[in-house]
Amino acid sequence: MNHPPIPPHTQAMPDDILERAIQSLEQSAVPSGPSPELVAATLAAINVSRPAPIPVPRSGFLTRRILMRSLSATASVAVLAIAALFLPNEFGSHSRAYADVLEQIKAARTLTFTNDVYTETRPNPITTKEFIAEDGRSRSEHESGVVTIRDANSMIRLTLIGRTKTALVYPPRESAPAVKQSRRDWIESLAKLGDKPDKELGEQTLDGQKVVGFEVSQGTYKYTLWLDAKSKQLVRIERESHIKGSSIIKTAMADFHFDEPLDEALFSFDPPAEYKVQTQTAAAMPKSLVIEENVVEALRGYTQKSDGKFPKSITEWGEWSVLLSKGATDAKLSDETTKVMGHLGAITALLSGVSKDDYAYLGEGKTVKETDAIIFWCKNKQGVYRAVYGDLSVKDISKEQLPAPVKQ
Amino acid sequence: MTDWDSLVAQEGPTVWRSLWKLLGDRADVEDCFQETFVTAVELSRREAVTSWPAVLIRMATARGMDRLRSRYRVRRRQVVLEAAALGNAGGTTSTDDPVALAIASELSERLRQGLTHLPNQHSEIFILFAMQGWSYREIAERMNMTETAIRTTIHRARQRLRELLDI
Repeated sequence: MNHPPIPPHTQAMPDDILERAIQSLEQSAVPSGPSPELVAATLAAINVSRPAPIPVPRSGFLTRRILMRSLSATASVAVLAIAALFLPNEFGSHSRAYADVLEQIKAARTLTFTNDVYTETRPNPITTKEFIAEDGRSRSEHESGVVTIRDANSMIRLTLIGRTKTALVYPPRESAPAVKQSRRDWIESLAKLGDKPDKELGEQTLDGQKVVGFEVSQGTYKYTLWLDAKSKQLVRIERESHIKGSSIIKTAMADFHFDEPLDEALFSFDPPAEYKVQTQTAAAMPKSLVIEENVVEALRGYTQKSDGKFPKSITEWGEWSVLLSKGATDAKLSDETTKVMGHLGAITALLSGVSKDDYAYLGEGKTVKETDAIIFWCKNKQGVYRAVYGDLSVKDISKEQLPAPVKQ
Repeated sequence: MTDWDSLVAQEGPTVWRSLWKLLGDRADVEDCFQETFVTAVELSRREAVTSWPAVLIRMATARGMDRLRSRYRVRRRQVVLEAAALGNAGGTTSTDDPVALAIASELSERLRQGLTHLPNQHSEIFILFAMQGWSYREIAERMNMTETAIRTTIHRARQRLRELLDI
């Protein structure tokens, strides 16, 4: 094909109206796809060899499609939650304004803000509006119209899909997750803040607003805090992303509102009367937030269907979608597949809290028969290196035992 | 024997991108994505396909254009109905209705709309050339036409689209 794609925003708009229109289309954002749900539905349609698309119930198909978007939104929220866990160690009290903002966060009883996830594939961020209640429950309103309500342990209890008027109801967990990540924990943990920002960025203009910036880092993570230059109110918190193989560039929180009264109904786990209710099984939610445990469970699900071959990546889902949807007679994913995809989503979210240098996936080209081969390793918060082997066993290893880096 | 799993995995993202550029609507793109591959299965029963990427793009383009035409037929009907409801029926077109003008303010949307006014073959050839980056020769080979005919078609499509965009 003789026309290379035009990189977005790199060419001036031509005078000719048709050329401008073509360029507008060329530069329009294309969301990543096809989704696993769509691939599943397509393969199911192919498998039954019908001359027309498989007659998947419209609402159900849409539900599943939007569920994947919800999963993405959930992942982005999880990214935020994990980022938030690190914030306490990165704020300091170098300036009065900086300290005041931290005090405000610490004292906050309720909080609302927007969360933008920037990716390489879209010129515009994926936006969610976040609400945190005093008791730790939270509500995320995704730009697609999907609303997710979580309990104080950050576990999803209700997903509302406005487009199809469908409510997905999740049962409460029998036990708390291994790692608590509620927003309340985050706010409370800010009380333990210490010291200073790494760097003051001085006064700058952000979206037309004069702001002062503070840069803080932990390991290879870097956060930037922007305060209004005059009022010294918190304007924006940015965090660079570094998930290997992920298209997420950074997340940004903005439009903060502290202690505003929030309607109790925003956090209700009861679906609205006009919504069609679908009760979900607990299988959709990973029970562990420990990275290597999710890696093991996801890889176990994958290798059971791949004759023991490991996937090329644990952060790109295309290959997983195709494999896991094999054998589906319609577009519905089995509970087992949903569970595996849940673990896969958790991996991406959890890896966002780990330095690039502190984990590696090495499964490409390997099989479960290579029991001594390290498929994945990561350094946990205690500084211990945890390795997943070909037989999916997990062991502690020393730094010297780490395999040589492989380009993923 | 076509390995459909691999084909969907390999070509799916390209088909997805192509359909998205053309349609810009998730529901439409997802429907056409499915239809494209199901149609490909039918084709594979009738004949041996040597180059699936090209065939899939053509099929996706055709499906996408069908969907675009359907979309704007519905939209035009809605505009007329809304105008009628306002006592403004008769002579109201999609270009002088406020709703249609709002839509038309988006250049890409106007181009999509313009494409639906072209003959089927013209729109397909134009999309393959201008949006998919195929050469005159590639299009000519795929469509069993001469390069000269392709050039002429693209020239006419451009003229017509400019007229539509300049309204």
